[in-house]
Amino acid sequence: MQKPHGGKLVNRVGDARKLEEARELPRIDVSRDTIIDIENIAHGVFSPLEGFLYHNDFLNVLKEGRLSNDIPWTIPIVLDYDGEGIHAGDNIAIENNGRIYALMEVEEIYEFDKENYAKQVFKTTDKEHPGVRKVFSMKDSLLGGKIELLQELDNPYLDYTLKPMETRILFREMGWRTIVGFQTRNIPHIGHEYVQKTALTFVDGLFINPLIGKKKPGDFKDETILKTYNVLVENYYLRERAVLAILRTEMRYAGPREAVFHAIIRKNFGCTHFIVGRDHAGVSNYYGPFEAQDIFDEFPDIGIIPLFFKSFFYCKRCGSVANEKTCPHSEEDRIIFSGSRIREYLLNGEEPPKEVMRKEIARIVLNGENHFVE
Amino acid sequence: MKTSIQLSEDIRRRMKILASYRDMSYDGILEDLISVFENTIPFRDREEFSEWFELNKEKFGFRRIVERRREFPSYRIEDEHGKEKEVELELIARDFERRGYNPKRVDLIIAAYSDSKEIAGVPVIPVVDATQHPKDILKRIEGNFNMISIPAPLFEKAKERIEGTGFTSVSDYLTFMLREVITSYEKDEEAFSEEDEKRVKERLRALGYLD
Repeated sequence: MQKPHGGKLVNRVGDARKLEEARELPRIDVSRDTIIDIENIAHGVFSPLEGFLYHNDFLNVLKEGRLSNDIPWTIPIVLDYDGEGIHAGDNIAIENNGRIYALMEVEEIYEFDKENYAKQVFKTTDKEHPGVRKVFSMKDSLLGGKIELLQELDNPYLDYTLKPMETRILFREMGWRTIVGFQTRNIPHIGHEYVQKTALTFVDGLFINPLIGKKKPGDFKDETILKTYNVLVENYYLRERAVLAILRTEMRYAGPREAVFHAIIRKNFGCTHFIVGRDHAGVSNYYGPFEAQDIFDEFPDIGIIPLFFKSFFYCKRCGSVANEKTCPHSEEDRIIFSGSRIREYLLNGEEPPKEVMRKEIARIVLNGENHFVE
Repeated sequence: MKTSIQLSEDIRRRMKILASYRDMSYDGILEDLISVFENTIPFRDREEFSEWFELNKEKFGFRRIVERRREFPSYRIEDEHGKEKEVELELIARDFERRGYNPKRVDLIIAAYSDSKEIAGVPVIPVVDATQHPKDILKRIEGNFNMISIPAPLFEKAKERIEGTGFTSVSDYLTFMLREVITSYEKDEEAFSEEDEKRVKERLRALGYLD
Protein backbone atom coordinates (compact mmCIF):
# COMPACT_ATOMS: atom_id res chain seq x y z
CA MET A 1 0.00 0.00 0.00
CA GLN A 2 1.18 3.53 -0.79
CA LYS A 3 2.82 5.18 2.22
CA PRO A 4 1.17 8.32 3.53
CA HIS A 5 3.21 11.49 3.15
CA GLY A 6 5.67 11.66 6.02
CA GLY A 7 5.17 7.95 6.74
CA LYS A 8 2.10 8.07 8.95
CA LEU A 9 -1.55 8.83 8.31
CA VAL A 10 -2.43 11.56 10.78
CA ASN A 11 -5.53 11.17 12.92
CA ARG A 12 -6.44 14.23 14.99
CA VAL A 13 -10.09 13.41 15.58
CA GLY A 14 -10.93 14.00 19.22
CA ASP A 15 -13.70 12.87 21.47
CA ALA A 16 -16.89 14.88 20.85
CA ARG A 17 -17.53 14.78 24.59
CA LYS A 18 -14.80 17.40 24.92
CA LEU A 19 -17.24 19.92 23.41
CA GLU A 20 -18.59 20.61 26.86
CA GLU A 21 -15.20 21.60 28.31
CA ALA A 22 -14.38 23.47 25.10
CA ARG A 23 -17.13 25.97 25.92
CA GLU A 24 -15.07 27.19 28.88
CA LEU A 25 -12.01 27.97 26.70
CA PRO A 26 -11.12 31.19 24.90
CA ARG A 27 -12.61 31.02 21.39
CA ILE A 28 -11.76 32.25 17.98
CA ASP A 29 -14.22 32.43 15.14
CA VAL A 30 -12.92 31.25 11.78
CA SER A 31 -14.26 30.76 8.24
CA ARG A 32 -15.83 27.56 6.90
CA ASP A 33 -12.71 27.10 4.76
CA THR A 34 -10.57 27.03 7.89
CA ILE A 35 -12.84 24.44 9.49
CA ILE A 36 -12.47 22.36 6.32
CA ASP A 37 -8.67 22.71 6.62
CA ILE A 38 -9.01 21.41 10.18
CA GLU A 39 -11.08 18.46 8.99
CA ASN A 40 -8.45 17.70 6.37
CA ILE A 41 -5.68 17.82 8.96
CA ALA A 42 -7.67 15.65 11.36
CA HIS A 43 -8.47 12.96 8.80
CA GLY A 44 -4.96 12.79 7.40
CA VAL A 45 -5.70 14.44 4.04
CA PHE A 46 -2.91 16.88 4.89
CA SER A 47 -0.59 14.30 6.54
CA PRO A 48 1.97 14.84 8.04
CA LEU A 49 0.45 18.10 9.36
CA GLU A 50 -1.06 17.75 12.81
CA GLY A 51 -2.11 21.37 13.06
CA PHE A 52 -1.44 24.81 11.71
CA LEU A 53 2.15 25.52 10.72
CA TYR A 54 4.73 26.56 13.29
CA HIS A 55 6.89 29.54 12.45
CA ASN A 56 9.96 27.58 11.35
CA ASP A 57 7.82 25.30 9.18
CA PHE A 58 6.03 28.30 7.71
CA LEU A 59 9.31 29.99 6.79
CA ASN A 60 10.72 26.79 5.34
CA VAL A 61 7.59 26.13 3.29
CA LEU A 62 7.88 29.62 1.80
CA LYS A 63 11.59 29.36 1.10
CA GLU A 64 12.12 25.71 0.22
CA GLY A 65 8.65 24.24 -0.39
CA ARG A 66 9.42 21.87 2.47
CA LEU A 67 8.59 21.55 6.17
CA SER A 68 11.50 22.16 8.52
CA ASN A 69 12.10 18.37 8.65
CA ASP A 70 12.69 18.43 4.86
CA ILE A 71 9.39 16.77 3.92
CA PRO A 72 7.99 18.36 0.74
CA TRP A 73 5.11 20.75 1.51
CA THR A 74 4.38 23.68 -0.76
CA ILE A 75 1.22 25.43 0.48
CA PRO A 76 1.14 27.06 3.93
CA ILE A 77 -1.76 25.74 6.00
CA VAL A 78 -2.09 28.55 8.51
CA LEU A 79 -4.53 30.14 10.90
CA ASP A 80 -4.55 33.92 10.97
CA TYR A 81 -5.40 35.89 14.06
CA ASP A 82 -5.80 39.54 15.07
CA GLY A 83 -3.38 39.32 17.97
CA GLU A 84 -5.62 40.02 20.97
CA GLY A 85 -6.61 37.89 23.93
CA ILE A 86 -4.84 34.65 23.09
CA HIS A 87 -1.33 33.78 24.21
CA ALA A 88 1.18 31.07 23.38
CA GLY A 89 0.45 28.13 25.66
CA ASP A 90 -3.34 28.63 25.63
CA ASN A 91 -5.79 25.89 24.72
CA ILE A 92 -8.51 27.43 22.61
CA ALA A 93 -11.77 26.45 20.97
CA ILE A 94 -12.22 27.07 17.27
CA GLU A 95 -15.72 27.99 16.17
CA ASN A 96 -17.67 29.05 13.13
CA ASN A 97 -20.96 30.91 13.49
CA GLY A 98 -21.11 30.24 17.21
CA ARG A 99 -20.56 26.49 16.87
CA ILE A 100 -17.37 24.90 18.19
CA TYR A 101 -15.64 22.45 15.85
CA ALA A 102 -12.15 21.93 17.21
CA LEU A 103 -9.61 22.49 19.93
CA MET A 104 -6.14 23.90 19.41
CA GLU A 105 -3.02 24.02 21.57
CA VAL A 106 -1.59 27.41 20.62
CA GLU A 107 2.16 26.90 20.80
CA GLU A 108 3.25 29.93 18.80
CA ILE A 109 1.88 33.28 17.75
CA TYR A 110 3.95 34.94 15.07
CA GLU A 111 3.79 37.78 12.62
CA PHE A 112 4.39 37.21 8.94
CA ASP A 113 5.35 39.10 5.83
CA LYS A 114 2.35 39.01 3.49
CA GLU A 115 4.30 40.22 0.50
CA ASN A 116 6.88 37.49 0.91
CA TYR A 117 4.11 34.91 1.41
CA ALA A 118 2.45 35.99 -1.85
CA LYS A 119 5.71 36.18 -3.76
CA GLN A 120 6.93 32.74 -2.69
CA VAL A 121 3.66 30.84 -3.01
CA PHE A 122 1.96 32.60 -5.91
CA LYS A 123 5.07 34.02 -7.65
CA THR A 124 3.36 37.40 -7.78
CA THR A 125 2.19 40.16 -5.47
CA ASP A 126 -0.47 41.30 -7.92
CA LYS A 127 -3.68 41.69 -5.96
CA GLU A 128 -5.71 40.74 -9.02
CA HIS A 129 -4.54 37.18 -8.32
CA PRO A 130 -7.25 35.57 -6.14
CA GLY A 131 -4.72 33.82 -3.89
CA VAL A 132 -2.67 36.97 -3.38
CA ARG A 133 -5.80 38.97 -2.63
CA LYS A 134 -6.69 36.47 0.07
CA VAL A 135 -3.21 36.66 1.65
CA PHE A 136 -3.36 40.45 1.84
CA SER A 137 -6.80 40.25 3.48
CA MET A 138 -5.48 37.99 6.25
CA LYS A 139 -4.98 39.18 9.82
CA ASP A 140 -1.43 40.11 10.83
CA SER A 141 -0.48 37.16 13.04
CA LEU A 142 -0.55 33.40 12.66
CA LEU A 143 -1.22 30.76 15.30
CA GLY A 144 0.89 27.62 15.24
CA GLY A 145 -0.08 24.42 17.02
CA LYS A 146 -1.85 21.07 16.93
CA ILE A 147 -5.59 20.76 16.46
CA GLU A 148 -8.18 18.25 17.53
CA LEU A 149 -11.41 17.95 15.55
CA LEU A 150 -14.50 17.52 17.71
CA GLN A 151 -17.26 17.70 15.12
CA GLU A 152 -17.59 18.22 11.38
CA LEU A 153 -19.29 20.84 9.27
CA ASP A 154 -22.49 20.01 7.46
CA ASN A 155 -21.60 18.44 4.14
CA PRO A 156 -24.09 18.31 1.27
CA TYR A 157 -21.84 15.81 -0.51
CA LEU A 158 -21.33 13.40 2.36
CA ASP A 159 -22.02 10.35 0.18
CA TYR A 160 -19.14 11.36 -2.08
CA THR A 161 -16.73 12.28 0.69
CA LEU A 162 -14.17 9.61 1.49
CA LYS A 163 -11.39 9.97 4.04
CA PRO A 164 -7.88 8.70 3.30
CA MET A 165 -8.41 5.71 5.57
CA GLU A 166 -11.54 4.84 3.56
CA THR A 167 -9.97 5.21 0.12
CA ARG A 168 -6.97 3.16 1.23
CA ILE A 169 -9.19 0.31 2.41
CA LEU A 170 -11.34 0.67 -0.71
CA PHE A 171 -8.36 0.48 -3.09
CA ARG A 172 -7.02 -2.54 -1.27
CA GLU A 173 -10.40 -4.29 -1.35
CA MET A 174 -10.64 -3.61 -5.08
CA GLY A 175 -7.28 -5.27 -5.53
CA TRP A 176 -5.61 -2.12 -6.83
CA ARG A 177 -1.89 -1.79 -6.22
CA THR A 178 -1.30 1.16 -8.53
CA ILE A 179 -3.78 4.03 -8.56
CA VAL A 180 -3.72 7.23 -10.56
CA GLY A 181 -5.31 10.32 -9.06
CA PHE A 182 -7.04 12.94 -11.17
CA GLN A 183 -7.67 16.43 -9.82
CA THR A 184 -10.33 18.57 -11.43
CA ARG A 185 -12.34 21.72 -10.87
CA ASN A 186 -14.14 21.55 -14.21
CA ILE A 187 -16.84 19.51 -15.85
CA PRO A 188 -15.31 16.76 -18.00
CA HIS A 189 -14.67 17.14 -21.70
CA ILE A 190 -13.34 14.51 -24.06
CA GLY A 191 -9.74 15.64 -23.47
CA HIS A 192 -10.05 14.96 -19.73
CA GLU A 193 -11.55 11.56 -20.40
CA TYR A 194 -8.78 10.73 -22.82
CA VAL A 195 -6.07 11.67 -20.32
CA GLN A 196 -7.72 9.67 -17.54
CA LYS A 197 -8.18 6.59 -19.71
CA THR A 198 -4.66 6.80 -21.11
CA ALA A 199 -3.26 6.86 -17.57
CA LEU A 200 -5.62 4.08 -16.51
CA THR A 201 -4.14 1.86 -19.21
CA PHE A 202 -0.92 1.66 -17.17
CA VAL A 203 -2.31 1.32 -13.64
CA ASP A 204 -4.91 -0.73 -11.78
CA GLY A 205 -7.38 1.99 -10.89
CA LEU A 206 -8.44 5.58 -11.47
CA PHE A 207 -9.36 7.88 -8.60
CA ILE A 208 -11.34 10.85 -9.91
CA ASN A 209 -11.20 13.42 -7.18
CA PRO A 210 -12.95 16.70 -8.05
CA LEU A 211 -12.18 19.61 -5.81
CA ILE A 212 -15.28 20.85 -4.03
CA GLY A 213 -14.89 24.14 -2.20
CA LYS A 214 -14.53 27.86 -2.65
CA LYS A 215 -13.71 28.85 -6.22
CA LYS A 216 -13.55 32.04 -8.20
CA PRO A 217 -16.47 33.56 -10.11
CA GLY A 218 -16.89 31.94 -13.51
CA ASP A 219 -15.79 28.47 -12.35
CA PHE A 220 -18.33 25.64 -12.51
CA LYS A 221 -20.43 25.10 -9.39
CA ASP A 222 -19.62 22.11 -7.20
CA GLU A 223 -22.92 20.33 -7.79
CA THR A 224 -22.50 20.65 -11.56
CA ILE A 225 -19.00 19.16 -11.48
CA LEU A 226 -20.17 16.27 -9.36
CA LYS A 227 -23.31 15.62 -11.39
CA THR A 228 -21.45 15.59 -14.70
CA TYR A 229 -18.68 13.32 -13.43
CA ASN A 230 -21.23 10.95 -12.00
CA VAL A 231 -22.85 10.60 -15.40
CA LEU A 232 -19.48 10.14 -17.10
CA VAL A 233 -18.29 7.45 -14.69
CA GLU A 234 -21.60 5.56 -14.78
CA ASN A 235 -21.75 5.50 -18.56
CA TYR A 236 -18.18 5.40 -19.78
CA TYR A 237 -15.99 3.74 -17.13
CA LEU A 238 -15.68 0.22 -15.80
CA ARG A 239 -17.10 0.14 -12.30
CA GLU A 240 -14.19 -1.95 -11.03
CA ARG A 241 -11.60 0.45 -12.45
CA ALA A 242 -12.77 3.92 -11.43
CA VAL A 243 -13.77 5.57 -8.16
CA LEU A 244 -15.33 9.01 -7.90
CA ALA A 245 -15.05 10.86 -4.58
CA ILE A 246 -14.61 14.51 -3.75
CA LEU A 247 -11.84 16.51 -2.15
CA ARG A 248 -13.17 19.27 0.10
CA THR A 249 -10.77 22.17 0.06
CA GLU A 250 -10.60 25.58 -1.51
CA MET A 251 -8.72 26.34 -4.70
CA ARG A 252 -5.61 28.42 -3.98
CA TYR A 253 -4.72 29.07 -7.64
CA ALA A 254 -1.03 28.69 -6.77
CA GLY A 255 -0.21 26.89 -10.03
CA PRO A 256 3.03 24.88 -9.68
CA ARG A 257 3.08 24.85 -5.89
CA GLU A 258 -0.54 23.80 -5.77
CA ALA A 259 0.13 20.98 -8.23
CA VAL A 260 2.64 19.52 -5.76
CA PHE A 261 0.16 20.08 -2.91
CA HIS A 262 -2.56 18.27 -4.89
CA ALA A 263 -0.20 15.38 -5.57
CA ILE A 264 0.66 15.06 -1.87
CA ILE A 265 -3.04 14.99 -0.95
CA ARG A 266 -3.68 12.18 -3.46
CA LYS A 267 -0.70 10.29 -2.08
CA ASN A 268 -2.42 10.44 1.29
CA PHE A 269 -5.57 9.04 -0.28
CA GLY A 270 -3.43 6.10 -1.42
CA CYS A 271 -2.63 7.06 -5.03
CA THR A 272 0.69 5.96 -6.48
CA HIS A 273 0.45 8.20 -9.56
CA PHE A 274 -0.97 11.65 -10.19
CA ILE A 275 -1.96 13.34 -13.44
CA VAL A 276 -0.53 16.81 -13.99
CA GLY A 277 -1.87 18.52 -17.05
CA ARG A 278 -1.40 21.88 -18.70
CA ASP A 279 -1.52 24.90 -16.37
CA HIS A 280 -2.56 22.84 -13.35
CA ALA A 281 -4.21 25.04 -10.68
CA GLY A 282 -3.31 28.13 -12.66
CA VAL A 283 -5.27 31.31 -13.13
CA SER A 284 -5.05 33.93 -15.91
CA ASN A 285 -1.49 34.01 -17.23
CA TYR A 286 0.46 33.99 -13.97
CA TYR A 287 2.19 30.67 -14.71
CA GLY A 288 3.75 29.10 -17.75
CA PRO A 289 1.66 26.30 -19.32
CA PHE A 290 3.97 23.52 -18.07
CA GLU A 291 5.47 25.16 -14.98
CA ALA A 292 3.28 22.92 -12.81
CA GLN A 293 5.05 19.92 -14.34
CA ASP A 294 8.59 21.31 -14.14
CA ILE A 295 8.34 21.97 -10.39
CA PHE A 296 8.24 18.22 -9.69
CA ASP A 297 11.97 18.10 -10.62
CA GLU A 298 12.62 19.78 -7.27
CA PHE A 299 10.88 17.00 -5.35
CA PRO A 300 12.47 13.63 -6.12
CA ASP A 301 11.33 12.51 -2.67
CA ILE A 302 7.64 13.36 -3.04
CA GLY A 303 6.75 9.66 -3.12
CA ILE A 304 4.07 9.78 -5.83
CA ILE A 305 4.77 9.48 -9.55
CA PRO A 306 3.56 12.49 -11.51
CA LEU A 307 2.25 11.68 -14.98
CA PHE A 308 2.71 14.65 -17.27
CA PHE A 309 0.36 15.22 -20.16
CA LYS A 310 0.77 17.80 -22.86
CA SER A 311 -2.17 19.46 -24.59
CA PHE A 312 -4.58 17.18 -26.40
CA PHE A 313 -6.93 18.06 -29.26
CA TYR A 314 -9.33 16.27 -31.56
CA CYS A 315 -7.90 15.74 -35.04
CA LYS A 316 -10.57 15.49 -37.70
CA ARG A 317 -8.24 13.66 -40.10
CA CYS A 318 -6.97 11.19 -37.49
CA GLY A 319 -10.55 10.81 -36.30
CA SER A 320 -9.37 10.68 -32.72
CA VAL A 321 -7.95 12.58 -29.81
CA ALA A 322 -4.27 13.27 -30.42
CA ASN A 323 -1.42 15.52 -29.42
CA GLU A 324 1.54 17.07 -31.14
CA LYS A 325 3.61 13.93 -30.67
CA THR A 326 1.04 11.67 -32.28
CA CYS A 327 -0.66 13.74 -34.99
CA PRO A 328 1.03 14.79 -38.25
CA HIS A 329 -1.84 17.00 -39.45
CA SER A 330 -2.15 20.77 -39.53
CA GLU A 331 -3.85 23.09 -37.06
CA GLU A 332 -6.86 23.52 -39.36
CA ASP A 333 -7.71 19.86 -38.78
CA ARG A 334 -7.69 20.23 -35.02
CA ILE A 335 -10.48 20.99 -32.57
CA ILE A 336 -8.98 22.37 -29.39
CA PHE A 337 -10.39 21.46 -25.96
CA SER A 338 -10.59 25.01 -24.79
CA GLY A 339 -12.34 25.56 -21.45
CA SER A 340 -13.36 29.10 -22.36
CA ARG A 341 -14.67 28.00 -25.79
CA ILE A 342 -16.71 25.22 -24.15
CA ARG A 343 -18.06 27.74 -21.64
CA GLU A 344 -19.09 30.02 -24.51
CA TYR A 345 -21.08 27.26 -26.17
CA LEU A 346 -22.83 26.39 -22.94
CA LEU A 347 -23.57 30.00 -21.99
CA ASN A 348 -25.12 30.46 -25.45
CA GLY A 349 -27.32 27.45 -24.81
CA GLU A 350 -25.52 25.37 -27.44
CA GLU A 351 -24.08 21.89 -27.18
CA PRO A 352 -20.33 21.82 -27.85
CA PRO A 353 -19.33 19.50 -30.74
CA LYS A 354 -19.52 15.80 -29.82
CA GLU A 355 -15.77 15.52 -30.44
CA VAL A 356 -15.29 17.93 -27.53
CA MET A 357 -17.93 16.99 -24.98
CA ARG A 358 -20.21 14.04 -24.34
CA LYS A 359 -23.84 14.94 -25.01
CA GLU A 360 -24.93 13.64 -21.60
CA ILE A 361 -22.54 16.08 -19.96
CA ALA A 362 -23.54 19.06 -22.09
CA ARG A 363 -27.24 18.41 -21.45
CA ILE A 364 -26.80 18.58 -17.70
CA VAL A 365 -25.37 22.08 -18.05
CA LEU A 366 -27.99 23.12 -20.60
CA ASN A 367 -30.95 22.38 -18.33
CA GLY A 368 -31.66 26.07 -17.70
CA GLU A 369 -30.07 26.47 -14.27
CA ASN A 370 -27.03 28.63 -13.58
CA HIS A 371 -24.04 26.33 -13.31
CA PHE A 372 -21.36 28.95 -12.73
CA VAL A 373 -20.01 30.47 -9.52
CA GLU A 374 -21.08 34.12 -9.30
CA MET B 1 59.43 49.81 9.36
CA LYS B 2 59.31 46.43 11.06
CA THR B 3 59.44 45.46 14.69
CA SER B 4 59.39 42.19 16.62
CA ILE B 5 56.47 41.00 18.70
CA GLN B 6 56.36 38.21 21.23
CA LEU B 7 53.73 35.57 20.55
CA SER B 8 52.94 32.44 22.51
CA GLU B 9 53.65 29.14 20.81
CA ASP B 10 49.95 28.36 20.57
CA ILE B 11 49.09 31.68 18.89
CA ARG B 12 52.06 31.35 16.53
CA ARG B 13 50.88 27.87 15.52
CA ARG B 14 47.31 29.03 14.92
CA MET B 15 48.50 32.05 12.94
CA LYS B 16 50.67 29.76 10.84
CA ILE B 17 47.73 27.48 10.07
CA LEU B 18 45.53 30.46 9.16
CA ALA B 19 48.26 31.91 6.94
CA SER B 20 48.84 28.58 5.19
CA TYR B 21 45.14 28.19 4.47
CA ARG B 22 45.29 31.40 2.50
CA ASP B 23 48.88 31.16 1.30
CA MET B 24 49.92 34.48 2.83
CA SER B 25 52.46 36.02 5.25
CA TYR B 26 52.14 36.76 9.02
CA ASP B 27 51.90 40.47 8.21
CA GLY B 28 49.07 39.84 5.79
CA ILE B 29 47.14 37.67 8.20
CA LEU B 30 47.59 40.26 10.99
CA GLU B 31 46.33 43.08 8.77
CA ASP B 32 43.30 41.03 7.81
CA LEU B 33 42.56 40.12 11.41
CA ILE B 34 42.79 43.77 12.43
CA SER B 35 40.43 44.84 9.69
CA VAL B 36 37.92 42.14 10.70
CA PHE B 37 38.25 43.16 14.34
CA GLU B 38 37.87 46.88 13.60
CA ASN B 39 34.67 46.21 11.71
CA THR B 40 33.38 43.88 14.39
CA ILE B 41 33.49 46.51 17.14
CA PRO B 42 31.21 49.35 16.18
CA PHE B 43 32.80 51.93 18.61
CA ARG B 44 36.01 53.93 18.28
CA ASP B 45 36.77 53.91 22.00
CA ARG B 46 35.31 53.34 25.43
CA GLU B 47 33.94 56.92 25.64
CA GLU B 48 31.91 56.44 22.48
CA PHE B 49 30.66 53.09 23.79
CA SER B 50 29.62 54.71 27.11
CA GLU B 51 27.65 57.42 25.32
CA TRP B 52 25.89 54.85 23.18
CA PHE B 53 25.17 52.63 26.18
CA GLU B 54 23.59 55.44 28.19
CA LEU B 55 21.32 56.33 25.29
CA ASN B 56 20.32 52.69 24.78
CA LYS B 57 20.24 51.39 28.35
CA GLU B 58 16.53 50.39 28.07
CA LYS B 59 17.44 47.88 25.38
CA PHE B 60 19.53 46.06 28.00
CA GLY B 61 16.59 46.04 30.42
CA PHE B 62 17.82 49.01 32.55
CA ARG B 63 15.47 51.73 33.76
CA ARG B 64 17.98 54.39 34.91
CA ILE B 65 21.60 55.06 35.82
CA VAL B 66 21.93 55.53 39.56
CA GLU B 67 25.63 56.40 39.56
CA ARG B 68 28.27 56.93 36.87
CA ARG B 69 31.93 56.38 37.84
CA ARG B 70 35.33 56.97 36.26
CA GLU B 71 36.78 54.02 38.15
CA PHE B 72 35.71 50.36 38.39
CA PRO B 73 32.89 49.41 38.27
CA SER B 74 31.56 51.84 35.67
CA TYR B 75 27.90 52.09 36.69
CA ARG B 76 25.34 51.49 39.34
CA ILE B 77 22.07 51.01 37.47
CA GLU B 78 18.44 50.20 38.27
CA ASP B 79 16.87 47.42 36.21
CA GLU B 80 13.28 47.27 34.96
CA HIS B 81 12.22 45.45 38.15
CA GLY B 82 13.61 48.28 40.29
CA LYS B 83 16.64 46.27 41.42
CA GLU B 84 20.02 48.05 41.59
CA LYS B 85 23.06 46.39 40.01
CA GLU B 86 26.79 47.02 39.62
CA VAL B 87 27.76 47.03 35.95
CA GLU B 88 31.15 47.18 34.23
CA LEU B 89 31.40 48.45 30.71
CA GLU B 90 34.14 46.99 28.49
CA LEU B 91 34.87 47.31 24.80
CA ILE B 92 36.12 43.71 24.80
CA ALA B 93 34.71 41.51 27.52
CA ARG B 94 37.97 39.68 28.13
CA ASP B 95 39.62 43.01 29.12
CA PHE B 96 37.76 42.58 32.41
CA GLU B 97 40.08 39.68 33.27
CA ARG B 98 43.16 41.35 31.78
CA ARG B 99 42.67 44.35 34.03
CA GLY B 100 42.39 42.00 37.03
CA TYR B 101 39.06 43.35 38.26
CA ASN B 102 37.37 41.66 41.18
CA PRO B 103 34.39 39.70 39.82
CA LYS B 104 32.69 39.77 43.23
CA ARG B 105 32.17 43.53 42.94
CA VAL B 106 30.00 43.41 39.78
CA ASP B 107 26.76 41.77 38.71
CA LEU B 108 27.12 42.19 35.00
CA ILE B 109 29.53 43.03 32.19
CA ILE B 110 28.23 44.98 29.22
CA ALA B 111 30.66 44.50 26.34
CA ALA B 112 30.87 45.80 22.81
CA TYR B 113 32.31 42.43 21.84
CA SER B 114 32.43 39.11 23.59
CA ASP B 115 33.29 35.57 22.62
CA SER B 116 32.00 34.22 25.89
CA LYS B 117 28.71 34.31 27.76
CA GLU B 118 30.52 34.95 31.07
CA ILE B 119 33.90 36.18 32.23
CA ALA B 120 35.28 35.06 35.60
CA GLY B 121 31.79 33.92 36.51
CA VAL B 122 30.20 37.29 35.68
CA PRO B 123 27.46 37.20 33.02
CA VAL B 124 28.18 39.18 29.86
CA ILE B 125 25.70 40.99 27.65
CA PRO B 126 27.48 41.69 24.36
CA VAL B 127 26.56 44.07 21.57
CA VAL B 128 28.45 41.86 19.12
CA ASP B 129 28.03 38.26 20.22
CA ALA B 130 30.99 36.28 18.93
CA THR B 131 29.70 33.11 20.60
CA GLN B 132 27.49 33.05 17.52
CA HIS B 133 30.14 31.38 15.39
CA PRO B 134 29.96 32.42 11.71
CA LYS B 135 29.16 28.82 10.78
CA ASP B 136 26.26 28.87 13.24
CA ILE B 137 25.08 32.16 11.82
CA LEU B 138 25.24 30.74 8.31
CA LYS B 139 23.34 27.72 9.53
CA ARG B 140 20.60 29.96 10.89
CA ILE B 141 20.42 31.95 7.69
CA GLU B 142 20.47 28.99 5.36
CA GLY B 143 18.28 26.65 7.39
CA ASN B 144 19.24 23.27 8.75
CA PHE B 145 22.32 22.31 6.78
CA ASN B 146 25.23 20.15 7.75
CA MET B 147 28.70 19.73 6.33
CA ILE B 148 29.51 16.24 5.09
CA SER B 149 32.76 14.84 3.77
CA ILE B 150 32.97 12.80 0.62
CA PRO B 151 36.11 11.49 -1.13
CA ALA B 152 37.70 14.19 -3.30
CA PRO B 153 37.61 12.08 -6.52
CA LEU B 154 33.89 11.46 -5.98
CA PHE B 155 33.37 15.20 -5.51
CA GLU B 156 35.20 15.83 -8.80
CA LYS B 157 33.11 13.20 -10.59
CA ALA B 158 29.91 14.75 -9.23
CA LYS B 159 31.15 18.18 -10.34
CA GLU B 160 31.70 16.87 -13.86
CA ARG B 161 28.35 15.10 -13.81
CA ILE B 162 26.38 18.31 -13.12
CA GLU B 163 27.93 20.32 -15.92
CA GLY B 164 25.22 21.47 -18.30
CA THR B 165 22.42 20.26 -16.01
CA GLY B 166 20.14 22.42 -13.91
CA PHE B 167 22.18 21.72 -10.75
CA THR B 168 24.15 24.74 -9.61
CA SER B 169 26.37 22.94 -7.10
CA VAL B 170 27.53 19.52 -6.02
CA SER B 171 25.61 20.06 -2.77
CA ASP B 172 22.35 20.57 -4.69
CA TYR B 173 23.03 17.49 -6.75
CA LEU B 174 23.84 15.26 -3.78
CA THR B 175 20.82 16.59 -1.86
CA PHE B 176 18.62 15.63 -4.81
CA MET B 177 20.13 12.16 -5.06
CA LEU B 178 19.88 11.50 -1.33
CA ARG B 179 16.29 12.66 -1.14
CA GLU B 180 15.40 10.31 -3.98
CA VAL B 181 17.14 7.36 -2.37
CA ILE B 182 16.07 7.94 1.21
CA THR B 183 12.38 8.30 0.38
CA SER B 184 12.32 4.72 -0.90
CA TYR B 185 13.26 3.53 2.59
CA GLU B 186 10.36 5.23 4.38
CA LYS B 187 8.69 2.95 6.88
CA ASP B 188 5.53 1.12 5.90
CA GLU B 189 2.25 2.38 7.24
CA GLU B 190 0.81 0.66 10.25
CA ALA B 191 -2.32 -1.43 9.62
CA PHE B 192 -5.75 -0.11 10.54
CA SER B 193 -7.49 -1.56 13.56
CA GLU B 194 -10.10 -4.29 13.08
CA GLU B 195 -12.74 -1.94 14.37
CA ASP B 196 -11.76 0.76 11.82
CA GLU B 197 -11.67 -1.78 9.00
CA LYS B 198 -15.16 -3.04 9.85
CA ARG B 199 -16.65 0.44 10.19
CA VAL B 200 -15.05 1.68 6.95
CA LYS B 201 -16.11 -1.37 4.92
CA GLU B 202 -19.69 -1.01 6.15
CA ARG B 203 -19.75 2.62 5.04
CA LEU B 204 -18.18 1.81 1.66
CA ARG B 205 -20.83 -0.87 1.07
CA ALA B 206 -23.64 1.44 2.13
CA LEU B 207 -22.42 4.08 -0.33
CA GLY B 208 -22.11 1.53 -3.15
CA TYR B 209 -18.32 1.70 -3.45
CA LEU B 210 -17.98 -1.95 -2.40
CA ASP B 211 -20.30 -4.88 -3.14
